[in-house]
This record gives sequence, structure tokens and C-alpha cells, in this order.
Amino acid sequence: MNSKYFNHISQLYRGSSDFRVRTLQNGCEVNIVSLDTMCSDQKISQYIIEPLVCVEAHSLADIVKHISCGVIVRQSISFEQVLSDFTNGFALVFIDGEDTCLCVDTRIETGRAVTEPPTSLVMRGPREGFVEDVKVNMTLLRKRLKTPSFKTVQLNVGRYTDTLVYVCYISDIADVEVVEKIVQRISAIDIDGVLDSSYLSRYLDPRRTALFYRVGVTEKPDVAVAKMLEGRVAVVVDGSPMVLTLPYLFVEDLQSPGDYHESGLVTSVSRLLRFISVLASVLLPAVYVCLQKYNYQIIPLKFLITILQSTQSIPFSPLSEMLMVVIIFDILREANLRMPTAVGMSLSLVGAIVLGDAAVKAGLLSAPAVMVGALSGIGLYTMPENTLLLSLLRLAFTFVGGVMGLLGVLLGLLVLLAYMCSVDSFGTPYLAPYAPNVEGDRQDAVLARSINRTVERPESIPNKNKTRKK
Amino acid sequence: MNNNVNMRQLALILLVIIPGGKYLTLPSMLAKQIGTDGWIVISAMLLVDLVCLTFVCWAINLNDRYSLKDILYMTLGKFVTKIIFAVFALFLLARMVTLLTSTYQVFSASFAINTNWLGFYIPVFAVVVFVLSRGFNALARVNEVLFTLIVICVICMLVYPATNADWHELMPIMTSAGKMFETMTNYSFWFTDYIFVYFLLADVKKQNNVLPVTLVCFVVGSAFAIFMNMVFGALYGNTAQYYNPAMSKVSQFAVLASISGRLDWLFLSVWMMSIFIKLCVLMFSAYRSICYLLEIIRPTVNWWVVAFIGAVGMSPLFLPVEQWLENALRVLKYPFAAVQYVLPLLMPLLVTVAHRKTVRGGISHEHT
Repeated sequence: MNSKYFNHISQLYRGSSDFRVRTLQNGCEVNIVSLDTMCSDQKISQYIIEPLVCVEAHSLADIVKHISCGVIVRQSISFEQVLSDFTNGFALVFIDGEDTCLCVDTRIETGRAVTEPPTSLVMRGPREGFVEDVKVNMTLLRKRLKTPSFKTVQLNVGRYTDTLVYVCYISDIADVEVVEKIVQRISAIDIDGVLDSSYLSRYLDPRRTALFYRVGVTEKPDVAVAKMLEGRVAVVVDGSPMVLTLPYLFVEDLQSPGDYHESGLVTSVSRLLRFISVLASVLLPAVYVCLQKYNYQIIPLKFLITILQSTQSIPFSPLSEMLMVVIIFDILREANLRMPTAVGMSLSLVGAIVLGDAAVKAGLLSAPAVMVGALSGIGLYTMPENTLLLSLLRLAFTFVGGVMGLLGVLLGLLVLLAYMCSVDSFGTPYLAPYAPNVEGDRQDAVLARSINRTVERPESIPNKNKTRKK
Repeated sequence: MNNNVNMRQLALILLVIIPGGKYLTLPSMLAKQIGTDGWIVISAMLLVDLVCLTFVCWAINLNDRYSLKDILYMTLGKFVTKIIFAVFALFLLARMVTLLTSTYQVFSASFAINTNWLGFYIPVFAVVVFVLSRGFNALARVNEVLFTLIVICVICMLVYPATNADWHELMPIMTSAGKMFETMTNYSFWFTDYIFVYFLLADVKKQNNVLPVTLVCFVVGSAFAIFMNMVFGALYGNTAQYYNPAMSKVSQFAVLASISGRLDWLFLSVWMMSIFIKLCVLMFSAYRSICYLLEIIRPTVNWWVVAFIGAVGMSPLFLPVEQWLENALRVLKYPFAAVQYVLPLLMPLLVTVAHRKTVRGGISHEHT
């Protein structure tokens, strides 16, 4: 056997139980090398062995003539390419006397079907969601963007996983600088493995200590395409149903895929509600503690009497009481996330009934504190991407409010706002279109306009084609 | 530190900070000096400020990204420039300390009576330093986010007292023009809030037709300040001088009924955000003037300068700074007036001369 690549591959995979070599005698010796766990036996038989059974072949060119029908076949020059194809499920066809080989696509088609993503359920609108197979995901995007302007840059990341990554954008819209920056950052990643898109998001976000995510994530192809149409760039990673979108703004957290199927008024009201509930979930426990501990005069008299009656027998200070409620809620939430569905449901019931009601009856917690804690806890889920962060902020504000009163809450807000205002994602201010004010971009922020009235692309997202509707 | 701002952001900052510091101890001090004519003094001073601001905006339009330090160096020389920055630093530090003590008084008179000075000062200073470290750009954006809320709260706080005020208390007006002029000169220290614009000369992104917007914002901010002082005078009449600080007293009138709770305190607390923004603006200006004075050029925060400003801010804990300042202002008002009122009038001329010198002599400039 003279093939250099064949010897090399055989050496590398010596000891692997799924490494298989099939030998045919077709005038000269033909070796078909494959990984049993990655290649389909049926495809190998159908596309390679069957066409070659009664054929005499003396070179790879002779073989290509017979097997290049309905399947990807390429003659590889570099060993890296051969190795990459081999590990991805291609069968390699070697012929005696030639160094190179043919790579034939015999991959096993695994993976789940395209279904509605569980994290973005909608009442109206498309129900397709991304899956783990990058090829299917690219098909879902390409199906919606039937234009040659839809461009993709293919990259491989991970020393061991060699994960396929696609950087997708619309060349007529997206800003070249942003695309280049993203490609540059991904290319510079030197890591042993990339198992999910979240690995890349850490690298795409230059400030790794950042509180807020500055890389968007979506499981829906229609959302990814909509974002690309606004000038954003999508990053599709093999093995992950989560597609990253960049640049990312805070207001995107308030948007839901279902919004675009409602009227502008309905969307605006729901977004406003989401925003109010986020504010309430972070600040309500802090304000409650402040008012109860320092500034009870602000509370209307009747409400104050109710609170006083329910808190007079509580053995804890307002701050410790509220911290207990908030922490118990967070523990329940964490446990609920990791429990099987059936147990999780009973756990929430146990949490709500036993812990809440029993604690109130035992005189450990007051009913208003439990109510405030629960209300704020539910509010966290209106921004599902940031639930953990909001929960942390809620704890911090509650603590500061309990120690320093309203002054602490005000100063905390100022710090948070200054932080958020100084953050940007690929040159786009995180709080745009509100800070800085970009009047035109408010059409799809907290208040939204109907799609038929959206004439221009958002100015905050770098793009080279402003006009959306003519 | 990203300090770039646009003219619109500058205008909004002006709108927020002008009323921001005028409801604290100033109204009762003016009432002590000139009775119910305090609002006229404020109106006159703000009119003078408007003229000065117009000149500063004109200078911004003429300027091509030169900093104040570059302009003064090129036109007045190093020695005079250093003197000017020393005066600036002194003025801004004094303003900062005064604002801090007044805010402390409002806070301890409204929210938490037992708050001690350190318990108030340390967190406030820490937050101001944090905001400063994120750059003036972040502060300008924070102001953009908060300004609508602040304006709504100011209106809410004023509506109820204004409808219950006895406006006849303000009559007769302008009883003594001479005394009014004297009061204006004595209290000039409390005005010229636009002074921070000097320290952003190289960082302002010019926009078309924004000058009128800036001036309108200034006028609106001034109108709030004047109206507030009129309400204060109309509510308390001749006893106004004993009600200090003004805002915490006036806001009491916003209470619809005790049974509804002191909702006005919530408005007051939101309004206090404007004071914190003003503190950040003053701290930024003081920091820059000290850096210019000591010729410190670095892109990040100089912690020695911050520590010095922090020590000055803490001084009311150990020293009777307010009393000293009151005495010192009799003399200091003249050098202060030079940077408050003379320099802005000269700014367009200085900017033009600096640019001509550059064209002729090819003098290089550095942004600090």
C-alpha cells in the first residue's frame, strides 16, 4: 500500500473499534475507510461499493465517474481536509498508487426534527425552530432568504471538536466592519472544544465581566432573519439550536416573536407591561423594605395599618424578612428548573403552599412580604433571558434599600444606569434608542409601530442600506 | 473615559441641573437678604447666564476640537492659564461642597433625620466617582433616560402648592433696585451652571440647528427654577427665610391628604436624582480643572486627584466650611466672576485667535 494519507489515517485511528477498512479488488486495490459510528453502512454500500463491484478502476478519476451520482464527492489535496471530512462522517476511498483520496458523503442523518422551540412559544406566527444540525439550520435560514446577498463565512473552531461555525449576514445591509470584527474574533478563538453557541458568546463579548448579555440568542429562524434584515449578523454553531445575533440591545429583551403578529397598540401595551414588571421585580422588594423601615409615611394610612398588623408579630427585621422571602423563592426556582417536570410541579406547589402559607401561619413571615416577594419573582420571567441577573439585582437592591433606605435605592439606580449607559455591543450603545436618543429607532422599542409603518432600518444597528420600505 | 457628547445631550443636562440646585438652601438665603423678591434676583441672574451661555455656544460652533486648555495656552499663555484653572478648581470644589451640604440637609430634613454626614457622603461620593469613571458620555446618557421622569416629578411637586399659594404675598415687587443688584453680586456664586461646558469644548459633537434648542432648554430649566422660587415666596411670604431647605418644605404642600400617604416624597426622591447628576457634573468639571492645572494627561481616572476631591468633599465633617465660604465669598466673588462672566464673553474671540494662530504658526495641539 503506497498511499501516504491511508497510512497516516490508519496510524491515527489504530485502536479505535469503529475504524473500518473495506478492500475491493477492481483491477487494483481499492480501500474504503470509514468510521462505523459516523457513516451509514447503507450509503457506503449504495454509493460506493455497488457502483464499483463490476468495474475496473486504475485511478481515482475512474472511480469518480462511477460514484459521483447524488452524493457529495470531492478529491482532497490536503491531509487536514481529509481528516476533517473523515471525522465528519465522510468515507474515504483510496486507490493503490495515489496519495490523495476521494471523500464521499456517507454521514448518518441523526438529530431531531424541526419543531417549535420550547423557549419561544408563540400564539401566532411560524413554529419552526432551529435544531442541533448546522446544515438544517442553514437550510431554515436560506429558505427564508432567497437572495444571493445572503452570505455566509464558514469557520472551524475547537482543537478537538473542530466545530463548524457559520457567520451569516446580508451583504447589502450589514456593515462590513461588524462582520469582519466578528469573523476576526471567532477566528482568534483557540480553545479545545466548542459544544454550544454560548461558548462563542463569551468570546464575542469583549468585556467578560459584563453584567448584561451583549449577544442576542434566538431559537427561531424567522427571528434570526428579521434581525439580519435590520443589519445584524447571525452566528450559527453546529450542535447548538441557539443562534447568536449581534449587535445586541437592551430593548431586544422586551421584544417577543409574537409581537410582530399583533397591532402596534397591542404590542406597545404588552411591552410596556413587561418593562413595568421588570422594574417592579427588581425594585419592589427594596422599596417595600425602605418604606417599612424608614419612610412608612409614604404608605397610605389604611395600607400602613394592614402592614403593621401583619408584621407586628414577625421576629425578623423587614430587611431579613424580605431577604428570606427572596432567597427562598430563588431556591425554589433553581430546584424547579432541575427537577423532572412532574416532580417540579409538585415542588412548586409545596413551595407555594407549605413554605409560604405555613411560614405566614407560623408567624415567621408576613403575608405582605410573601406577596411582594412572589409578585417580584413572577415579574422576573417577563425577561426570561435575564432572570438570573435580575434576581441578583433584586437581592442587591433589597440589601442596599434595607441598609441605606431610599438614598441607597436611588444611588443604586444611578450606578446601574451609568453602567448600562456606558456599555456597547459592536459599537452600538446598549441602551439605544433611549440613551443616546435615536428618534427613528423608537419605532420598535418599548412602544412599537406596526410593520407597515416601519420605513427605515434602525440607525443604532450599523448598516449600509437605511431604506426598508419604498 | 469616553467624554464625547452631542449638543442635544448638553441641552438636556442644562435643563435638568439648572433647577436641580436652586431649591435647596438658596431660596431661604435670598429671602433673608431681599424678602419675597428672591425670584426676581434668580430671574435676573439666569438672564445673565443665558447671555453667557449664548457666547459659549458660539465658541463651540467656532471651535474645531480644541480643549479649553489648548485655547487658553495659545491665547493667554501658560501663567494666566494656570491662574484661570486654579480659580476654576476653587470655584467648582466650593460649589460641590455647598451642593453636598445642602443635599444632606434636604435629605436629613425629609427622609432620614438621623443620617450622619459620613453615612450620607461616602456612598454619594462613591457613586459619583463610579459615574465619573464611566465617562461624561455615560452621564449624559443617564440624564437622557431620567430627564422626562425628573421633569414630570418637578411638575407634580409644584402643581398642588402652586394652586394653594397666596400670590399676593409676592407683592410689592422690586422694592429696592439697589439692594437687588447687591444681592445679585453677593449670590452670583450660586449661578452659571453651564460652566461645565467649558470642560467639554473638545468633546462636543456639533449638530446643526441645536443652538436654539440649547437655549430653549436653558430657558425652560430657568423657568422651573424661577417658578419654584415664586411658589416658595408665595407660600411662606415674609417667613420664607426660616424655611430651609426649600424643597423639602414646599413639597409638604403636595400632600393631598395624610390618608393617601406622602406620595410627594417619591417625587422628591426622583427629583433628587437631578442633584446627583449635578454633583457628577461638578465633580467632572473640578476633576478636569485640577488635571489641567497640574498638567495631568491620561485616558483613565487619576485616583490621586479623585482622592483630593474626596478629601475636600469630606471637609464639612471636621471644619465649619460653610461659614468660611460665606466669609471668603466676599473676596472670592471677584475672581470667580472673572471665570463665570468675563471668560464666556471672551471665549468666541479666544477661540478665533487660537485657530488663526494655528493656521499661521502651525502650532500643534493636544487633547487632554
